[in-house]
Amino acid sequence: MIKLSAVYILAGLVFAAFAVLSALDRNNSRRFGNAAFWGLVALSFLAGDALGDLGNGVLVLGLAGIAGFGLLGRGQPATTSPEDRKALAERFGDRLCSSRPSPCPSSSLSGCWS
Amino acid sequence: MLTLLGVATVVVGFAVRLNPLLVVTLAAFVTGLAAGLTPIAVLEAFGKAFNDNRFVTAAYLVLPVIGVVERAGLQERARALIGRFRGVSVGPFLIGYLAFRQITSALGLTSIAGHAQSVRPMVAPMAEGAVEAQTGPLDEATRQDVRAMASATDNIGLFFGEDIFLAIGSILLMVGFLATSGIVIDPLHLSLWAIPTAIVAFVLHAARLLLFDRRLRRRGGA
Repeated sequence: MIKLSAVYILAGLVFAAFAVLSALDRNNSRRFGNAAFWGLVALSFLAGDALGDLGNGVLVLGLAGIAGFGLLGRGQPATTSPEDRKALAERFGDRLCSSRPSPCPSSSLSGCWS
Repeated sequence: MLTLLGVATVVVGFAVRLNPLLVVTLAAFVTGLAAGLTPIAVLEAFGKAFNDNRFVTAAYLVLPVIGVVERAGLQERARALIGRFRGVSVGPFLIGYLAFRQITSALGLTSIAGHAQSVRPMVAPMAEGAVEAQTGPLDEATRQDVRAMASATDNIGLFFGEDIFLAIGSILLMVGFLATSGIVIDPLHLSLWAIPTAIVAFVLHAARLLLFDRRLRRRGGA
């Protein structure tokens, strides 16, 4: 079974990538709020045990504050338009629903609990 | 007893329509302070609880997958699927939608449908159309009844279906909370035990929909 610690590192890296991509997204007026939020989440996953209780407490306050005071926003990424999506939906058909893999964290998590 | 002030904070905060995240954080602080902890101790309790339960957030690892699939037209596909049910009476149509919603939620596809994406633009008009085909033009009260039933179907399908999905936040939170109290449960067990409930919910609501269909037909005099 994949160990939970490996999942945490993967999650930390993925969320750090979200943070970096958010910071680079010039179409989003609130990109630094996004980057800060995901950065804190990534920090929690990568270094949560090393931060200690008080450190994690401050981290949680940071997360709640960023989200609660509306510092998060959405950019306009270059993506498919609704018409493009309709065409793609016809092309892929029901493979879209069945191709979605079973979520990786949960199977490793359930393994760790047993 | 004073710790129940936290509950009061939640109630007042939600009633005044403050941001829920801030309300909950404030309520947690109020509870901690009312329990006699110093503010620093409350912060430490926050931190410890957050760190112990952070695997709940790990479920968001699937976000990129959802993004890719939605970019390829997942919602449009769902719409096409629901649209195939044209020409069916309202009872069986909504039962079909209930089954679709429950099964996709059980697989984790909770955002494939919803009030904004499918009920308002598609399911409600199709349900209204199905009733009109049986009984002629609808009066306002009946129209609202049909719309309400379509929304209720979406709610019930989502709620009882998503508890079967392993990585849903509620299951993981239950597992984590029980673990901190010393009871170790496999998330798979919680998910499996959600299945009988989901089946019962499906049967009960399907019966309601069939009775609804019959009532509308009798009301319309067809």
